[in-house]
Parts: sequence; C-alpha cells; structure tokens
Amino acid sequence: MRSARTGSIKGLAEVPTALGLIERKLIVPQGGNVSEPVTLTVFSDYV
Amino acid sequence: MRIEKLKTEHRLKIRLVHFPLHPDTPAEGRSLADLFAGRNLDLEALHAQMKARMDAEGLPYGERARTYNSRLAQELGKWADTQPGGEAIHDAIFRAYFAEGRDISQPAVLLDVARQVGLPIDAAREVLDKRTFKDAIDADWKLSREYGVTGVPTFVAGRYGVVGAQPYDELVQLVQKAATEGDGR
Repeated sequence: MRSARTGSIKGLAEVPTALGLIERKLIVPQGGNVSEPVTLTVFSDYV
Repeated sequence: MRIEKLKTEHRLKIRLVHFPLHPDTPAEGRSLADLFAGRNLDLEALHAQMKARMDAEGLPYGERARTYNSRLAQELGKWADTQPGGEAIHDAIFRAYFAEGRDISQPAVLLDVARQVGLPIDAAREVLDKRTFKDAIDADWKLSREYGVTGVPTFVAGRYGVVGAQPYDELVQLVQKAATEGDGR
C-alpha cells in the first residue's frame, strides 16, 4: 500500500474485516447461470 | 478511473463507504498549512506529486489552500446513491473541491453540485436541511472503525485490503485474491 492521503501505509495484507459485514448479492446473468460478483468496498472521503 | 475499469473488466460490485478523514474540521474550514503543521511536510512538493498523479489519470486537480468539513457532502452523497444516476455526484464533489477549491461544507455549494448532475434540488435541500441521511453516515463511520480504516482510499475485498492510490494491477490482484478464496462476496 502506498500514498494514502493520511493514516497508515501497509502492504497488501489482511485487514480486520468482519466477514458478513460485506453484503452478498446474487446476480443472474443472461443464460441463467447464477454467480456472485466480488464486492469491492471503497472507504473514501471527499477531502 | 481505475475503479470504473475494474468494474468493467471484472465481475465486481462496488460499495462506497464514507470515511471521516478530518471530522474535526471547523465550519470555516482549515488551512492546509494548519492541518499539516508539525509534520515537516513540503506542501508544494506534495501538491506537485498529487498533481502529477491526477494528470496521469486524466483527472482535474487545482491549487487548494484549505480543507473543509465534508460531513454534509457525505450525507448528500449517500442520498444521491439512492437516486437514478445519482452516483455522478461523487466525481462532481471531488471536482468541486480538488479542482475548483470550492467549500463543500456549504449547502449552497452542494446544491449547486447536485444541480449540475441533474439531481432533484428540492429533495437534495431536504436531505441537507433535515439531515435525513445522518444515521446512514454515522453507520458508515462506525463501519470504518470496525474495519480499522485510517486513511483514504482504502479498498477491501474479502479478508484483504490495500490503502492509498494503487496501481491498477494491485487492485486486480486484490479482487482476484478475494474471488479465488470465495470470501469476497
């Protein structure tokens, strides 16, 4: 990880995420196959 | 932008969580010199570094002297996500602040930005006047604390996360790692 505008700078690493906090959604694409997309959660601020 | 490219090229659902970077910023804002006081930082060099990075991404970036309280902007942004096409407000608020140096703590500025992206102004005004998305942003801040987020942007997929402006390939790696382990959904 690099160049956060502030805060800690880390490498690709585990962060204390709580499984289940990330919402799960099913997507049914054309053709009828059911698959789940990965959720990318972006924490951000406007300043 | 990297996120849009990721979303297009990978099966990805993006969730934006608002994080309080400088929540104690007073109503009148704070000069960047004051904000970074005591950190022995070269603000001109920092600006040049950020400008180069934004230029490389084709994003506008102007001179800024002050930072502003973003709480109301976050509440408006959260509401905008509930409106058709409302996600356009995020880039518009970033542009208003980072490119134009506007005071995004001011309701009048936020309403102008909302108008620019075609959001219903009366509804936007009500969000700001009645603070109807206050609880939603409180929940985002709580989630940020639970995840241990300390800087922006922070990207999390499954059990993994990266902080800061990342090369595209690192974001791909993050997403693929979560997908491979089946815990990023």
